[in-house]
Amino acid sequence: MRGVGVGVVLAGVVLLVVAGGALFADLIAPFDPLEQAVDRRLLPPGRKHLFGTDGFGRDVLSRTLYGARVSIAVALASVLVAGGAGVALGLTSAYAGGRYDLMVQRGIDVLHGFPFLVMALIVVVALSPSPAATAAAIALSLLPLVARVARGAALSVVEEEYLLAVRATGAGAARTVFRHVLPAAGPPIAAYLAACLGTAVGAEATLSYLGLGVPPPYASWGRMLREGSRAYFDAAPWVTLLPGLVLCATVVSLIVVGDRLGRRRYRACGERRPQRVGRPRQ
Amino acid sequence: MVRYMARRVIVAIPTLIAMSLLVFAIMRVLPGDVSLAILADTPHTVEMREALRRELGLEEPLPAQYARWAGSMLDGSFGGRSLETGEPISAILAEQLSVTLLLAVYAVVLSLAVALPLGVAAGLHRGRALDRAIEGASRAALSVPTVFAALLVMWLLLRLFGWSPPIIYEGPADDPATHIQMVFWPALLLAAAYGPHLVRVTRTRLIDVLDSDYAESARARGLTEAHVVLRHALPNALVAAITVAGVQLGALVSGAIVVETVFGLPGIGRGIVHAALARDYPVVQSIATILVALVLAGNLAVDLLYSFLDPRVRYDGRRM
Amino acid sequence: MIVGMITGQSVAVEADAPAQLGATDQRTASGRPRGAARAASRRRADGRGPWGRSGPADKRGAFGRSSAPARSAGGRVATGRRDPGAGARGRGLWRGDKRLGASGPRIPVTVCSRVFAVLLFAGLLLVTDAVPAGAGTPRRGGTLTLANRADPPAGFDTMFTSSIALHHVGGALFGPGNLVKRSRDDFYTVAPYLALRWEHTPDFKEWTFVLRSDVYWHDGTRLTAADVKFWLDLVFFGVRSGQRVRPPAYFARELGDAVAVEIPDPRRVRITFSHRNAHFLQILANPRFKIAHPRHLMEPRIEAGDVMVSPLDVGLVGVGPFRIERYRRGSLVRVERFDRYFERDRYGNRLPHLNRIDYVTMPDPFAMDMAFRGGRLDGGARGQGHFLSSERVAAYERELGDAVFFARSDGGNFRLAFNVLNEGPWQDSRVRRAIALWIDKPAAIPAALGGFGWTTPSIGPGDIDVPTEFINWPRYDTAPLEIRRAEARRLMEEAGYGDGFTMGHLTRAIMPEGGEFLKAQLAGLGVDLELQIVDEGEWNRARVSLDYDSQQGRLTPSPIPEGTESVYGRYEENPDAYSKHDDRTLDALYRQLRDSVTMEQRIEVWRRLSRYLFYEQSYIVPVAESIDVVPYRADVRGLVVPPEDMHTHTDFATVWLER
Repeated sequence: MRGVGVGVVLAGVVLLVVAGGALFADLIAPFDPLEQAVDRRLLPPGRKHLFGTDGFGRDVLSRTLYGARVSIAVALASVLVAGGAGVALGLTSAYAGGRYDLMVQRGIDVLHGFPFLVMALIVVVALSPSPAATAAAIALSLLPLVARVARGAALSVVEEEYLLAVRATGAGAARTVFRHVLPAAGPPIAAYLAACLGTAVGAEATLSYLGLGVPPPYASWGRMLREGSRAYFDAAPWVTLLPGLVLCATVVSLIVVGDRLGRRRYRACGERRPQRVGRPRQ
Repeated sequence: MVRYMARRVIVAIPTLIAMSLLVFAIMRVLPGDVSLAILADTPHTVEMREALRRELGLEEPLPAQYARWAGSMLDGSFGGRSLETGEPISAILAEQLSVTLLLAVYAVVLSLAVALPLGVAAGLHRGRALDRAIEGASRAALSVPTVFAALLVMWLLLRLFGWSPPIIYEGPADDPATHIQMVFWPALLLAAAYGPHLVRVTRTRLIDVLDSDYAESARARGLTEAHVVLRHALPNALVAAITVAGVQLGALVSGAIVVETVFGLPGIGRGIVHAALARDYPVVQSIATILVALVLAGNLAVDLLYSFLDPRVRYDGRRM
Repeated sequence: MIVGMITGQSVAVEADAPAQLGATDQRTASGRPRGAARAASRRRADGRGPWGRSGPADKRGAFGRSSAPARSAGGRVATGRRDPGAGARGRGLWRGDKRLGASGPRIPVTVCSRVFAVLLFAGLLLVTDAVPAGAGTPRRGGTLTLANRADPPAGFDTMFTSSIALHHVGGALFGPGNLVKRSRDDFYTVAPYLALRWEHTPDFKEWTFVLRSDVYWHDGTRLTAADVKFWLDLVFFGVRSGQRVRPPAYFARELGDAVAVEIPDPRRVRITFSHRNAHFLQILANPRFKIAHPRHLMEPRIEAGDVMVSPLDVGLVGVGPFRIERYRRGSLVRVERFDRYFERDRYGNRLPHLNRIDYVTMPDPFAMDMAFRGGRLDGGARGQGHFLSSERVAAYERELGDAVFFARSDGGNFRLAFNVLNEGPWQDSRVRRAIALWIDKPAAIPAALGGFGWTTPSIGPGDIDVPTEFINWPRYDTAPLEIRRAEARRLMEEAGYGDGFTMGHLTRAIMPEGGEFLKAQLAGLGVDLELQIVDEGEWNRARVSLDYDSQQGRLTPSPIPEGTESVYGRYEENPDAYSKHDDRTLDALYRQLRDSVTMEQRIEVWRRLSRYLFYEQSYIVPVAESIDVVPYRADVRGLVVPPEDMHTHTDFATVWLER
């Protein structure tokens, strides 16, 4: 394997830091993210408060760390749901073909026709804002993308001779799909899911900014963008900018890593380098 | 050609119906009573609420409600009136749709104008510094969430130049100067989110063609590299870019919702966000459906354009 | 909630309506005739009258700046002070004395600081008043560009929404009053508007209004008594035609239980109530009751079955100083001067002064700030979220300096209200007392109210001229925080909840700051406030339900104490009550309040009532009173800034531009 680029290493480091911060927020965070103190409102970044404080006197760094938890949890949940359902639909439809495939395809077409935010808006209006509703909204709009990629990846496997041989031995369909199709089609799907994670993090931020995402007191990154910009973007830009930059860094890193994963796997498979899957769009 | 077009349009109809059913179904999961949402901020009596429920037809069975709504989508009343403002939804659409459509057109034109040359340049300089720079830039543009970029742009414009965009929207015909000042930044932000895909596709496609046996044989026949690029690689890359532009229309709509909200453009995107926050569910339902229908129509149009440019697809009806 | 008070006298002649005849009823409902009139006139004269005003002595340079050093929490803020004539200044002291007398024992320090503040204030005026004569003559023409936070809802129908987005526009379109209005000179005085004068029977059951004859609808039709009857009928009775029902206006019950509206002659309207309605005039003066319903356009539609016809449906024809020019959804409401408008200013100039007002729809406060500071706006939007915080005020000041001033107005109470009909520790009055004692109330002002507000032990917002006869809750629990908190812990122990408990709290997603503040506060007492965050739909359902243990209620002031029963009274009768309780003592107190005849009685009953409600039972914990702040460009002159209720009190007829 050739050396990985600087960008990828950097992205990896960013992700490790963010993931570590989210996981161990209770250990690392210097303050309680909800603890208010009027006498230390809107302090600029300094030694005691690395990221400064917000209008409640809450520590912005601590909130960003805990916010990572919420943002990443929502993103992970949505990608897991979309990934699980999407892969299942994609693989089975590729494997079964025929009528079932056609039906699934049409269903996916219908879902795919929804711009991400439009889907998210109606889901959130129906369910009322909550982390679960946000995750559901994001999952629903990722689902058709994942299903398509999974189907595509599986199709190339299904046609291969050894699989035809496996099928000829009369192995059960479920067994074949999970034992043979999934492992072969897995790598490109995994790469795609990594990129999806980036999209989901951005999506959460967008929804929360619009006031339709994760409600307070959860300190998600999008929520912080909203609160900071509406109340004191100018007077205390750090409250908005610092979480915003962390958000951007995370999204960029996820996409870079996803990209890299995709390329390497393909190379490992010895295939012609495919068109990059790219980032699933919001 | 005509038959192919007709077939594509007919196939789209059940998809559209399914989409509208999906929107309707999701909206009906609503836990609260909508009549309460309407009477927001007003002390009200039970009698008021019942009158309202009757007027809204909330007492009818669901299939009847769907039928009535679907019918209204066809006859041009688009689901009746806004719960919040009491205005006909058709009037809301009439005012807001053009803003968003124009914005989308600007964004597409802007991103094509920037992305195609960049993609071509990257493809021709593949692996070299220029290629890497373009790659890096487009990745960055792609990764920064539009909402953050929009906030930042708005803030920096004021902090650096003491300037903010005009606030009273004017159509391009009424007051072109105001119009351009108002839509320029939103369109640019949209293009930044939308263009990178086009850069990538153009680049990849260009490289594919340049690497193909076909190009090799052309070169072998003594044609210049410029000829190969201009006559063979470019048209192919263009077609690919247009296809992606079509596929990404949905993304454009999402982006429009964000920039309209931040920049205060009175388009349909800001309209639907406002309606969602106010739980103005007939408006959300109808606008969502119309946006979805527009994306579908856009995709269809691109499909047809594509089949026109590349006649091969007509026969199997599949791309790529 | 501030129960700001309408002092109860009707004024004979209003300064800016010279054509008017005297009102017939000098004495009033609440029986505080002469003294009150004097008080009002002094309040007007003491240079700190609540209304901004165009006049020769109105100098924006002084406007606002004077209030800062002594009192304001965050910079220069205009309070609508007007006419700082030299002779009037000393009387500010009188007012301080009067307050002392009226409000019983007070902490001497406060009085001293108040007197000092007034002196300082007067001194500053002497310095800053040196502006060339004539600088304040109103100019005609110009366009005022204001932000508005949303499209006006409900088809602009003032009978079905009190939305700030409608009322911001409504003052211009429909006028700042109905038959009567609040005086521009003194918010707490009822002045004639469409009616020239009025009278009532001694039992206060029959009220007769005599209309002006020079009022026109924007389409040129003359306003008649039949129009007013049409409006009142819609308000009180709605319409019922077969299956179709138009419900009465949401405020119908507040106005009283009317049984009939008649027209004895073409210029008179008579309203008959089934019960004594002594405070009718003061209630009616509430500017949220705007007439947006032209009979000649609406009646035919209603007869044709369209009972819910809205003002928008008939083209937004009103009688206000401006007529609609253009309405673009999501974007703009443009109004232009109505040339046949009847009001004149004190110099006899026809109102309004402006040619046009553009209300630009800007739902996002950040966008509004950028636009204002970028020079695109003359005035900010009104509404929670758009009202400025102290940080935003600082940013405006840094960038715009003297080119901007800030209108401020009392915005209502931030409170915690218990649902004692739900099982839980909060049913124990000791627990509620403990919570009331525990909360660090001043901390709420920067954290939850954007930095502008006031709380105990002040008796009123420092630089807003609100009469305090009916405000006394801020003086409960004035001991130092440590002492209060020790007592709170003791009470919790005594009640058996030393280890704390969990309590649900209904919180609106659009304004979670209050909930977040209370949660952080109560954590120290061991009370885990579980925020149940809901969107507006659920909020509107939930706040009248018994599903939540506690809530904040809505942030609206009410003009008269009798009107508070709907939010302080028993749940069974008043589902919208902040605290859900079943306490019949409050019923009795409200009955006494309504039956009281003199001002002194009224104040006395109100004192007992509020002490019982806020202190003894602590059904509701008043945390702090907010102050709403709206930015305006300094060349916007003659703006009417109400001391409270900026929400619906929107009067731009006297505004003119110095440019």
